[in-house]
Parts: sequence; C-alpha cells; structure tokens
Amino acid sequence: MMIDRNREQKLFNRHATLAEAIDRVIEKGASIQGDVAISVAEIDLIILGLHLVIASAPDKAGNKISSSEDKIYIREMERRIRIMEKNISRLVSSDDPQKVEKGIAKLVLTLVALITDLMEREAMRKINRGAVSKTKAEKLGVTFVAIKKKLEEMKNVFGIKEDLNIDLGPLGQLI
Amino acid sequence: MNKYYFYCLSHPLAGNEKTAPGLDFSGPVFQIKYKGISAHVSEIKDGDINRENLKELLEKDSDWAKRNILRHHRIIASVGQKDTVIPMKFGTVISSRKNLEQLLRDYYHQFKKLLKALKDRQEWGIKIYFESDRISSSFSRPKKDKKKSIGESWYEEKMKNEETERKIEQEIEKQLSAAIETLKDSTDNFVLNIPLPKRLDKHRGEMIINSSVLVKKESLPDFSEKIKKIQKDLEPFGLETELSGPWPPYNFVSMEKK
Repeated sequence: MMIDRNREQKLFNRHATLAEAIDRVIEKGASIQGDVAISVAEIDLIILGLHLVIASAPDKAGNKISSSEDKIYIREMERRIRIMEKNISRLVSSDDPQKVEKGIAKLVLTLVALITDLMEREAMRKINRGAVSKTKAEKLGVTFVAIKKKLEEMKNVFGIKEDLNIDLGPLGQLI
Repeated sequence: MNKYYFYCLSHPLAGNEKTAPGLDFSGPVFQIKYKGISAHVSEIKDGDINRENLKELLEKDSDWAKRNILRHHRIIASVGQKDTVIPMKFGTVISSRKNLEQLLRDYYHQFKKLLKALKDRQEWGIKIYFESDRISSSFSRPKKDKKKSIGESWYEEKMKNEETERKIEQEIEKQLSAAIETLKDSTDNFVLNIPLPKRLDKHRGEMIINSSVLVKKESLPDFSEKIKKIQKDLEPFGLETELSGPWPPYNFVSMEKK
C-alpha cells in the first residue's frame, strides 16, 4: 500500500502524467444516465490540460504563468524575438564584416538548398512515372549532385558548419 | 434540497466518519449505502453547481481545476486502496439524496456485475513514443555502388532511401501490432485511446500509442516481464515505451443504458 502511495505521489510530480490524470479523470470514468445534473464531457481537454500543465510550471522569475493560452504563446514569441534580436546585431556588426557575409551567405545557400530539394522531388516523381528518358534522368542526377557539391563547397568557403536551415518559429524549420 | 457530488462506488466500507475533504464547493466525503454497494459522495453546499459554472471554473481557473481534478482522483484512489472501485466521471452531480438512492437501485445489478469483474484488478497506462533520430543505425541508409556513374547512382540512392524509409515504416507497424497483440493476450482488457498532443505531454518524442490495460494483481509479475520485452523489442525502431499506474479502472467502467 505504501509503495502504491509513493508511486502515486511520484506520478503527479511529473507534468506528462498530470496530463494523463486529467485525460482519465475528465474523459473516462463511469457515466451514468438519468438524473445526472452535469456532464463536463464537452470541455476541451486539450485547452484545459494545457492550462494546467503550464500553470504548474513556474517560469524562471518564479512567477506563475497566467492561464491564458495567448499569454503562453506571446511569451514564447517574445523569447524567440529576443534570440533573433541578438542574432541580428551579430549579423550586422560592422566590427566584423566576415560575420555579416557569413550570415547572408547562409541565408542564400539555404534558399538554394530548399529550391534544389523541391526540384529534386519533382524530378523523382517524373522519373518514377516514366516521363523522363534514361539519359535525361542521368543528366538530372549529375546536375543535382553537382549543385549539392557546390553547396558544400560554398559552406566551406564561408565557414558554415551547421546544416542549412531557417527556423520559422511556430511554422517549424524551413527544410 | 441539496445536490450530491458522486465520486465513485465500492462495496460498503467500514467507518463513515466524513473526514476526507470533498471538492471545493462541497462538504466532506461520506458513503450512502444500499444493500451490498456504497456510493462515495459529498454534499454540495456552496450555492448551485451547474454545467455552466463548473465548466467555467475548469476552463478559467487553472488552480481550481488542478486542485479539484486531482482531489477527485485521490478520493477515488484512496477508496481503491481499500476495495474494488468504480470511478465516476468528473462532474457527476445528482440532484437530491432521493434521486441518488433511486439511481443506486436502478443501476444495482450493473454496479454489482462491474465490481465483480474488476475485483483484484488494476489499470495501467502504456504509452509509446516515436523519435525518428533514435532509430538504430542498422536500419540506416544503404551504401554507395561505386561502379555506377554519378547521375545513375543519384537516382538509385534516392530510390533506395525511399525504400529504406518504407521498410522502416512497415517494420514499425509490424512491431507495434505485435506489441498490441502481446498486451491484448497478457491482460484482461485493453483499450486504445487518442494519443495526447505533444504540447500537453512534455516527452521528447511524439506519442503514437496511448493505451490502458486491466491486469489481474496476481498476473503483475508476468505483465511486467511482457512490458520489459516490449520495451526491448521496440527500442531499435526509435520507439520508447512508458508505463504508468496503478490507476483506478477509469477506462474499464463503461455503463450500459438503464
């Protein structure tokens, strides 16, 4: 019995399991018909759970975050903007023209990589449909490999070590 | 006439002291007994509780919601430690004592049947998460064919990569079905629920299986072995298995219509 109680306590110290408990308590359990005055089945579990999980995690300043979903979103966006702000100042720092160049180069190379990726997919689709002759397919292949090698080379020239990608915030990664 | 908040049902338990506190708007928890069954309830005292204001409290006041949802659960869990328990859905309110007694009479046979079916059994939650970058390297990309020209191997590599992705997907499907079969075979009952979305569940991976099982207490050692095996089998595919419990049998108390 003691072990069960400890385990139960442990369960609720974790956010994931708080969500699990809410899932069970609100969504499951015996539902009786007839003279029942209230049923809360229509409550949006997702919204409710999100409020509870977030509300139970104090932020760095020790304040409880307000239960409104919008505020959570705004806070996250503010955090991202602060990160971006830092990066912009680095990007345009006149003390270090090399860094400016690197930042712009990364942006351009990422777009080239994205377009190549899209074209590659389209090419694969055409080849698989049999719409492209063998020689043409080979030509396409060499072209794509060449573009990719060139991208790698350019990355080295500008000293870009990380993968080419752009963080689009709530939309996720570009590639 | 006062309304009653209905937490759960069990066999009648010794002692009826009204010591455990009920939800915020109600008095302490006590039992209303009828023949061989007993409803754990508390009297609603603070004004009227209805669908609208309960919903509003839950949605607008997260501290209230967290406190009361967990209290509802703990009251049920504490009855569950003494006896077989049938948890009621959160927000089950009965409009009068007379109606509650009528309800116990109406559902008497169903409650008795359920108590018997749930005797010496526990609910456990099994969640499976997927993380693509944790797939074992033995399933990773094929090697290059040196004899082919650059253009030719571009197409072949692309095709092989797609083929590998497909194979991994099929293998994951196969492994998950096998795990589900094992769970069905080694437990009394098995339900598959909708996976919780990632923003609710702080796990690194994406929840792809959210299930609950009902296990006989005497079969727990065997069940735990089965879970360990599933964990081991699924791991190379980037699948992580998490067990939680024991829970009161929330997922196994569906009532038929009167």
